[in-house]
Amino acid sequence: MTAIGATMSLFVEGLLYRGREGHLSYIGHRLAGLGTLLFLAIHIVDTSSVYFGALLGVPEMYSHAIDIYRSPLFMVGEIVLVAAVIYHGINGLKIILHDTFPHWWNKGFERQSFWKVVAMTLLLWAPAAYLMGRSLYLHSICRCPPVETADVTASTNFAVTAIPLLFFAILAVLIVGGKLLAPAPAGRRVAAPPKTLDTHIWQFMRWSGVLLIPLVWIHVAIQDVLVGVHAIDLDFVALRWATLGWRLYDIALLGFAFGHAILGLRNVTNDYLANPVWNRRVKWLLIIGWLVITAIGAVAIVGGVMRPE
Amino acid sequence: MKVTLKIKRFNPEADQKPHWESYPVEVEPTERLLDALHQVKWFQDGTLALRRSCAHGICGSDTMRINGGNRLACKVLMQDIVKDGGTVTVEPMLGLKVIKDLIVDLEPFFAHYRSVMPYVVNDEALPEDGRERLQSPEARERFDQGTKCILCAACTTACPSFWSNSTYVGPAAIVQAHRFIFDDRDRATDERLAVLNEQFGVWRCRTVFNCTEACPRDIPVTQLIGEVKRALATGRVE
Amino acid sequence: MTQHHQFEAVIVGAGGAGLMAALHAARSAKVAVISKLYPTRSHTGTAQGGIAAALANMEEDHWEWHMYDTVKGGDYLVDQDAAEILAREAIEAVIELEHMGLPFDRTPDGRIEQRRFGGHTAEHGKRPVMRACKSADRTGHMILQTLFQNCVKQQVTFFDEYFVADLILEDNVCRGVVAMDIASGEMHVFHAKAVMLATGGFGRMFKVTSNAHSLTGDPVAAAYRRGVPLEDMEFFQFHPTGIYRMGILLSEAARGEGGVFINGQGERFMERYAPTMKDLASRDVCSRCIYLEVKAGRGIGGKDYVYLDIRPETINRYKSAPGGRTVTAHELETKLPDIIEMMRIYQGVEPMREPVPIQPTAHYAMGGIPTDSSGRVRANEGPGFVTGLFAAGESACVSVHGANRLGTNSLVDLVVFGRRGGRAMARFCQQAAFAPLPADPQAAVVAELERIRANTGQEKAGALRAEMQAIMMDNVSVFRDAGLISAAQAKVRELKERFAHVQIDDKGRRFNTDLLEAFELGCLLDLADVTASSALARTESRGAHSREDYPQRDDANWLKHTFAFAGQPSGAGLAMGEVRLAYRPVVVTKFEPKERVY
Repeated sequence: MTAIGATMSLFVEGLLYRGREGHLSYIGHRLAGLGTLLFLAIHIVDTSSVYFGALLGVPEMYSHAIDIYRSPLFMVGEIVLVAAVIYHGINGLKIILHDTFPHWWNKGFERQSFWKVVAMTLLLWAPAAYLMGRSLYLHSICRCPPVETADVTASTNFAVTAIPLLFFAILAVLIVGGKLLAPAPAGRRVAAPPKTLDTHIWQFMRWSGVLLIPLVWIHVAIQDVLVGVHAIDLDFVALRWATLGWRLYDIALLGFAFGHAILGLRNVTNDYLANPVWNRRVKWLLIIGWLVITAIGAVAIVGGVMRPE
Repeated sequence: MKVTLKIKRFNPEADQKPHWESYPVEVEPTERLLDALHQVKWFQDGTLALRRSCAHGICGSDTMRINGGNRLACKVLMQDIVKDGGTVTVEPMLGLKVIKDLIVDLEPFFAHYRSVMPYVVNDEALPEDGRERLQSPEARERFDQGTKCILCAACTTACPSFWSNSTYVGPAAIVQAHRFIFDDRDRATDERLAVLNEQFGVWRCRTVFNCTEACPRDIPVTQLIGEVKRALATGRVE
Repeated sequence: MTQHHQFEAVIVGAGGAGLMAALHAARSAKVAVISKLYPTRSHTGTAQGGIAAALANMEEDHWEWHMYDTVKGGDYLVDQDAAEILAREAIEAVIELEHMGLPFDRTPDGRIEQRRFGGHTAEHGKRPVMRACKSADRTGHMILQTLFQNCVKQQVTFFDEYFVADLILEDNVCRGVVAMDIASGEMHVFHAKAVMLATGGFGRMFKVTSNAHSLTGDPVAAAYRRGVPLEDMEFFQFHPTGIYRMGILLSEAARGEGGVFINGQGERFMERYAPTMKDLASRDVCSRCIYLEVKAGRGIGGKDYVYLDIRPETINRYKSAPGGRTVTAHELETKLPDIIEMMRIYQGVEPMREPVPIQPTAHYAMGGIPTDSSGRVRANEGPGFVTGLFAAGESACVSVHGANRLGTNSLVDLVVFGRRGGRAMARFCQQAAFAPLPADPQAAVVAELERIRANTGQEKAGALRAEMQAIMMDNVSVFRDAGLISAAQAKVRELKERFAHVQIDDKGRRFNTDLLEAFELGCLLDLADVTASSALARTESRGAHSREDYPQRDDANWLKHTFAFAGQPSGAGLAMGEVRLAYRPVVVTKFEPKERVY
């Protein structure tokens, strides 16, 4: 008990440590990551009900789930979620850039880049929050839903072209903000030790992170922002999955996003669970959870929308 | 100026738990916090325990949390941390066991230091003329930052990864490793990299920058850690 | 409970000399290094400018020139056989450090880069020479780190934060030391064949000093109390460039790179006093000149300080940079990063745009425990030695610094004589047996510590220390005379009486620094007494010892080393009584004493 108490008080003291922007950016990254993970796990399971609902004899399962998402509380949560996804993405990009070009980074630049990340997050989040807020207002407060149905194709085209452009624009800002011209020091080859599990995981987090920014952002932009939860139903899912491309897209999303999330949780576990026995147990739990939820999601994507005959 | 020092006290011989004590002191604005602490220790309460030696930021003895963040008490002037009539909080470093008041057990810190083989390894024949090994000014400059380290532990005890799990080798030890990995006279790069490639090596770094902010010697700690990670990932020391 | 340990060689102090000795002794002997600080906290680390060695990497240089500069710098009180060893072996010692991994600055062709330094000249005083090997302006830090790294590599045994309070010395044979584990308060007896004292200086007897708070000379005082003489204690170097009022050192490297002294009238006054070396005259000379300027009312604003000016425009105006080159702010920042940072932090001055207020600061004890060139401690002014006792570094007096040490020669001293001492100890351990320990060797120290702990007197150690530091600074610093010194001596003896009534607040065992600081004060008081007594007796001016009542050097009567012995304890505790003085002739080999002009 005292050990747990000591860990807790250390944790609190750590949060109160007077670090600077880097410390804030780290706390923000963790919170955003954990929040997104929580949503992601629920989201995979409930979306899978498009397949499993009918199988289990509860065909209304998906529409029940969507109804919950349509509640005002969830819609507010969704707006926050979008902020988390944007921040985690841009800040992650910053970390990746740091790891790739560490010699660009000094104390002052790190302080600046935190504020740049916050500014870019707000800039991207503002229109999304406006659109989602508007939808929340129309559906839940004045109860005067717009008559026109969302044009899924137009939204998709918009998101698919705009987001990669944004992605590269952000990358450019971060890079140019760094000293692009700072020369890399001359090097020599060494016999680097064989890669350990931790090396591989670390590298996976970086590669998957880069990939996930367009993947997740396009997904979120279309589903949450442009189309909106009120326009999403079984038909919408069926329409999307009619295209093989979108199914592959969702498979990639499932694999990388949830993999990234579980490995992130592994980092958190390693950080806070020093007891080797419990550490191992929790990590096994993570693997099991990852396998189960990924399997559920994968089966649903392959199986597609099942409607009761 | 008149200020209050609010110090976290803990003497395991007598106390169950740490507690705060406040001491009013009168100091010159250009005096060091260490001078103010000495005023308390020498003229108010001799039981206050702290480490200090050189008193000008080289020996690395008096790292403590000052107003919540790690600094050397001898390298902050009062005027830079408090206004007349204000309060300065002083606590021991975080993440190491408190022995008494502001003194923590540094043994785990030095154990991590020793684990990265902090010395040049080179068994090749020495120059025949009995003189120095040659090294270009550029090669010397390459590892200059790490050589500034005074092992004060400010970086390591500012690191969230180290707080939550002190088996993490920590920023200071990685800075030391960097100093040798990037020294072209050294021949044990791979062994040292292997230590840092372990589960409690560099991969625990979450690029928080608390270390860089805390370093009283202005070493770009996070950058050096990043360079070690790169060397591990690419097999190039550059 | 007292714990017992047995090591062939015990080294007290983990600075440059102690670690160097440990590395060499540990090759064949079982060695323990005991230090009251973590080794990397040792004061060697604060040395800035460089370590002299006639490598001739930059220009022509010879070890004889280095030896000459050392002898002249020490105002001919140097034992010239030892100075020859210092200058010769400096070269191989620096190379050894490089091989150990020390990151020296490099020339374009990859050799160790060197810079000019005060008092180091070519051709016996003709012009400044680039002799100081360096690593930016943190050479001492690099030496300390490199030596510690190599101790880790060699797996030397350390007892960190152990306070050595007494030597076990009976019948002229040293048998070990008594130490306290500071963290627990437990006593430890270390039984040894050979003991080396390498504990550095004791500048904390002065108010304005560059010395660390920990430099209180405890084991030096312990040796003195056990009958070991102390040599040349009247010679204490005041470094000309201490940060005003704080005493923090700004290295001579600042002047090596072209910095100059400026008085209140904007004049580069060193041109008047030292026409050849100017601002790079030796330290005692510069400190005296600053005092004289201040005395003549030419301090800044009539106050007690002058400026050190390292602004590029000043350096370029006087063409005072090496070779009269033009310098830029950027260049100075890369060569003197730490010094410039200290000026900014502690003085709030922007040194590239403003001059920096400085005053002389108590810096280095030329005197200490007398040894021969193998580190063996002399038992008296004659040929006798204390069996099994060695000393090196600032705590020792070989004597290579004589009446005034040259800049960078302290680091040379550490590595050259640390190394020789370490080897001598190893040889000694091979042929010697463990001398038996007396019963209860810790008794005297335990009694003294318990006396202080239980004392209910009305005196505070902090107040007593402040009084001692003030009187020593005012009366026994750069300029002295019989009246001033006698007053200081009387005051110190009064303080020794009052020390018997010091009460401390902390009665606990664990990390009781209150207790240790009181004990340290007792040591400092004994050493201050020796310093004042030795200074009072020497009726001449030589090097750092400047008597206004005897302004001339007197080679006929005073070309000899002072040996101070402790009288019987006078009052309570360990404090020693009246100092007894004896003298030993200086060894002169190559260079006959001449008038000293820079």
